[in-house]
Amino acid sequence: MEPTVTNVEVLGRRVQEARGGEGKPLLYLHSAMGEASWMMPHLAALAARRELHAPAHPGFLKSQGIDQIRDMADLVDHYLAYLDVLGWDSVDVVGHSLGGWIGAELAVRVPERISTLVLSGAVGIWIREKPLADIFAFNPQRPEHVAELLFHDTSNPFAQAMTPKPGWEMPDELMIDFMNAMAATARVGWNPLLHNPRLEAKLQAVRARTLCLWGENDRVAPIEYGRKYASLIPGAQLEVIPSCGHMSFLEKPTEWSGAVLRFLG
Amino acid sequence: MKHFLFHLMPYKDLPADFEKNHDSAWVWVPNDLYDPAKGHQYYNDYLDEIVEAEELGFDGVCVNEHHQNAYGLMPSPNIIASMIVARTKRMKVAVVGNALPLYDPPTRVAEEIAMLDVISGGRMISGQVIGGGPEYFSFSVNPTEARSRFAEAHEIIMRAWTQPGPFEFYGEHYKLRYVNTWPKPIQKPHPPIWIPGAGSLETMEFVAKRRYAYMGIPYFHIDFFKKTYAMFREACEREGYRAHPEQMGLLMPIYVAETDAKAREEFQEHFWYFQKKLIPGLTLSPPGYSSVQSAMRIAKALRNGKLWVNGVETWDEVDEGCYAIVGSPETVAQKIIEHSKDIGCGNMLGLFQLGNMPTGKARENARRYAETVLPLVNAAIPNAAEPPPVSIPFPEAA
Repeated sequence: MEPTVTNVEVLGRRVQEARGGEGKPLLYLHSAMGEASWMMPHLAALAARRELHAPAHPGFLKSQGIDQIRDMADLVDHYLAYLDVLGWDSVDVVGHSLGGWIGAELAVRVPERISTLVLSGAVGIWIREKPLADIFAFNPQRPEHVAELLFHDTSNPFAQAMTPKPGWEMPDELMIDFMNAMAATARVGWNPLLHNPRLEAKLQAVRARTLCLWGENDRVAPIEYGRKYASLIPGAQLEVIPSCGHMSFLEKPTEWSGAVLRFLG
Repeated sequence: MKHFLFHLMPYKDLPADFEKNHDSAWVWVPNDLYDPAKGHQYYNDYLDEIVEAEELGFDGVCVNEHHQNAYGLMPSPNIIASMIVARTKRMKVAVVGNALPLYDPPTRVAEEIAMLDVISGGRMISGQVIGGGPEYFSFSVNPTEARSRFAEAHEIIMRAWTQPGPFEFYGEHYKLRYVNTWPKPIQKPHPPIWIPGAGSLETMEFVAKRRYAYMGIPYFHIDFFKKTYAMFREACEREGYRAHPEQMGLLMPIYVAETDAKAREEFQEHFWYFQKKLIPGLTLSPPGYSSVQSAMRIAKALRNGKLWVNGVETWDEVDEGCYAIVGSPETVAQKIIEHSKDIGCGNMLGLFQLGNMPTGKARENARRYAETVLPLVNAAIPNAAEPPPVSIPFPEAA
């Protein structure tokens, strides 16, 4: 299947989805960045081996229905309906950050329907001694703040692209996508911040083969989150990408795709 | 023209190098910078400044609500209003406003404003506001629910004041089995409602539809302000009526001295303290707090440095954008008259205490305004003969 952007109807909501590749279906759940687009090299790498589905969550890109999503439980219901629409009894899931949180919630809610799970820099749980970074509290007076939080090496071209230069104006279209993405993330992740306090105790229910894939120097969801997920999900493995921050698929794309594809087999 | 003395109760003692070490005076500004002994003096000075407005001949005073910041130290404006009410007899007291989504249940606001209205013999103006962006960080309230929480809370309060209780309110955010507010306000059908807004069309349309008053948030270039009010007047016209002057207000820092040069010289340092230390952080806009359309309009105004107070660097720019009205009595009066006529507003809301101004200076400033500027403005802009429109009541529950 050629890479396309298509629409799926879920509970009466129009969902935009990037879809492409051949083989067993693979569901990619994106982060707060909304990377459900073929501009993303890591999605092309996954689609080279599998039939990749990267839906945009409600409120992201052209996906509708954020008004009906009040919390993570509503978002999980949305994805349960999505699995039915796609006709999958079970599926492999790769989720990054916010998407990892959704993946973990799904694997708890319907353990039999998630066969393999990759949690990449996932939020969703809370370690009091190591709080998740407040991604909503970016300081407009310090434009370099974003890149510092998301990357190990801020000279990375993607990190540079996320650092507004004086005199540069974000195109309206991008700014609208960005505002919608942050609002849709805040809808489910403002308070409690990017986690569900009751998820941790339920992770033992997960039946999926699970890989926790972490940037060694993740400043949003520090490596302790990878260790904690790996210790709570039965049989889970942890793989660490050295010299890498939170946006692992951008900062170390080859290592990231290699690890994910190796684990998927 | 109605004249109000607006007070923020700022913190005057931020260190000289504050802005080098801190990004903002809001939310995360460390509270070990606050000295309660100084605070004791300031609160009492500020109350004296406010209460004096009555004998100076102001129509009223305005207080407002902010949290976890050095810009305005009235986390509970209703507490301050109660002290003003107890020390005055005639003038109006406007709480502009209570940030409704921060009160749960919001009947709390209905109760407190009604208490104040009854105690004051009907002198309250009830400002109701969504709350500034920073408050959503300070209270951890979900900003994507700000608008819908405000709409429900507002309806609860208006119905609590005007409809027989007990009744049930069943909303998305608030489910109240027995709404039955004691006391009810003395003003009928309810105290005047003022809604502050930063220029979002949704807020203007809501205010126009219900016949309340719209108070534009200051610190934008005067042209942005005028555009905002033109939008509001159009929204009223779409509702089939002409906006009443008292449905609009111009809020400005004001400083009056004998001459333009003297006024500017005496005022400048306080303006720069305010601009450099207290304003940064005020525009924090959490995700989903405004519609994308409104957020874009405001973001563009903020990005164009010269449309927002923090972008100005020279006194000429302050003067050109009318970020403060400063000068001799004639100059100040002439500017107020010119801008008020353009806007069509019938309320002048003056900040006479700004930044780190000593209390004596602020009181002198307000006195000079009342004695020399106020008569000139009133001669040029008489009060409207007709009263402002009566608000549209919410339908009673079935």
